[in-house]
Amino acid sequence: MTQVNYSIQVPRSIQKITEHLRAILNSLGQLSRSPWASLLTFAVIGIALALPLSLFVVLKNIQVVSSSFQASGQINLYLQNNISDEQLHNTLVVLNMDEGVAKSQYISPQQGLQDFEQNSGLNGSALNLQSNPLPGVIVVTPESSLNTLQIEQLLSRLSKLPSITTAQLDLKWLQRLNAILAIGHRTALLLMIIFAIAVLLIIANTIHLTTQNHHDEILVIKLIGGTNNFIRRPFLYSGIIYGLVGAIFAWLLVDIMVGFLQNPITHLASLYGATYVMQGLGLSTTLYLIGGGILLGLIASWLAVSRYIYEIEPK
Amino acid sequence: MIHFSQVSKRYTNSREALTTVSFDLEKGEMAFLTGHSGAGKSTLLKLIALIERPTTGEIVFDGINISRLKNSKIPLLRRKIGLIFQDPNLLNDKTVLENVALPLVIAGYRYQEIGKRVRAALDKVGLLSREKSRPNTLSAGEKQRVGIARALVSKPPLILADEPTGNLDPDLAADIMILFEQFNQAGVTILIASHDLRLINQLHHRRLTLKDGQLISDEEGYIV
Repeated sequence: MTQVNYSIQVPRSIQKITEHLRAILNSLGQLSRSPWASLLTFAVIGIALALPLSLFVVLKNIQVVSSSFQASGQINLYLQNNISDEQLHNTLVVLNMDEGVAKSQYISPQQGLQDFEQNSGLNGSALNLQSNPLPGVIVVTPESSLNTLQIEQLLSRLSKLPSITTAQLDLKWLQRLNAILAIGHRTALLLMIIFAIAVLLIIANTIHLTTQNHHDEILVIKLIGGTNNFIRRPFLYSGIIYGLVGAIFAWLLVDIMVGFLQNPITHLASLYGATYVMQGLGLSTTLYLIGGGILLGLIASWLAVSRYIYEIEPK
Repeated sequence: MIHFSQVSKRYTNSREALTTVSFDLEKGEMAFLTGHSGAGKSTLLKLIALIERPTTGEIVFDGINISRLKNSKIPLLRRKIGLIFQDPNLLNDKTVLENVALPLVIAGYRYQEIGKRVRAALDKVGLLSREKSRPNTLSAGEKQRVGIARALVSKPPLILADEPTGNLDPDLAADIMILFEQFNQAGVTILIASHDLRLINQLHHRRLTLKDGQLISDEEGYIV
């Protein structure tokens, strides 16, 4: 038996690094030999990843906008008819002592009627009414630091005050919006899983075809003592590169989409007297996207190559 | 070096390719394996390199019972064997130099060492001037010699050759055999499967003859 002469072989760690570098160069060489096919695969992976991500971005923006609505939720307190000014004054004093209340404003029945006429455009018609049907209202703005539960508690405290008939917090529509958003998020998650599987299959199939094109080379390497890891490595790097570049494609696509929508959305916001900068993917989601792409590529190529290597083992 | 004891190989849904074959090949020996086509020559070589596994019996190579060697250990076994086929299986998208370098690359040799050894191996087979050529620009004889250089470059203790001269005309075939004899003189154990009796008769090495999967004769070699 010949002794392995270690003096002419490289130290184990450096050998490992050079083997990996060689595998990376090898897989880059494989990809560059058919640049159009590679580019097409990158684009398909990118689009498949971008579809669920763009839905995710849309939902994220709706959520940001709706959370600012939540903070401005107001409580309307309807007063009994024919209460005295003293009773009204007492109620307002007690009310303003509550630490959950930031601000309160009394709207008299007369003022309410005027507002209604102005806003509805029914000028003068309401004057035909025999008497003013509107009750007095106190509009309470809760402290912005309160969460939904604390606002509910404030609501029940205020409804028990004297002279108050009804306390109303108009959050129903917000709850409905949140319910719709929850469905949207679940849909985005489902789509992400489905498209991740699609990307997995695309990469696995591409790698499978590449292994078939390298059938002779793989057989020769096996016959002269190449380990399965040596054979697998360049394909694993190809898978990683497909996943990585595909994810970068997806990131660019979503970024372009956000940029494309920015102007009309700024315009829409300005019509409401607001400024709104559209949210993109954000750093953490981008990192998840890129990490996910790499992981998908690695898993897909591992499955494809391992199946192939298993087929050519001696039985 | 190689010890076969009662080795049989049956492929699925087929007759036995080898039946209770036993023999020993000593270290430093050179032997021919002959027989008509289909007699089991290739199967016997494949069993040594674990390209196939024996159905029954025991094969010991270099002191290791390889009949039950784990798949993960096969690469290390193959690095001790220089395999040569009738079709040298060269990779046409690589140069001659890169083809011959492959076993050293796999074993993790230093870059400079690889260049030195590959050139020495190519020099031995007389193809140093073709190191930058692609295999598909070479003649059949040149291709076979590149295949031999690749089998030798890592200096394995054993060379297995399956019909190495099958595609070559008699003069080229004789040249290849002279190469093998040179390696044998340098201490390499060599087992050559061939049905070219005319060529084998000119050389006076040990001869194992297979017929229908059975070892029917084992003639000692002699020096003229």
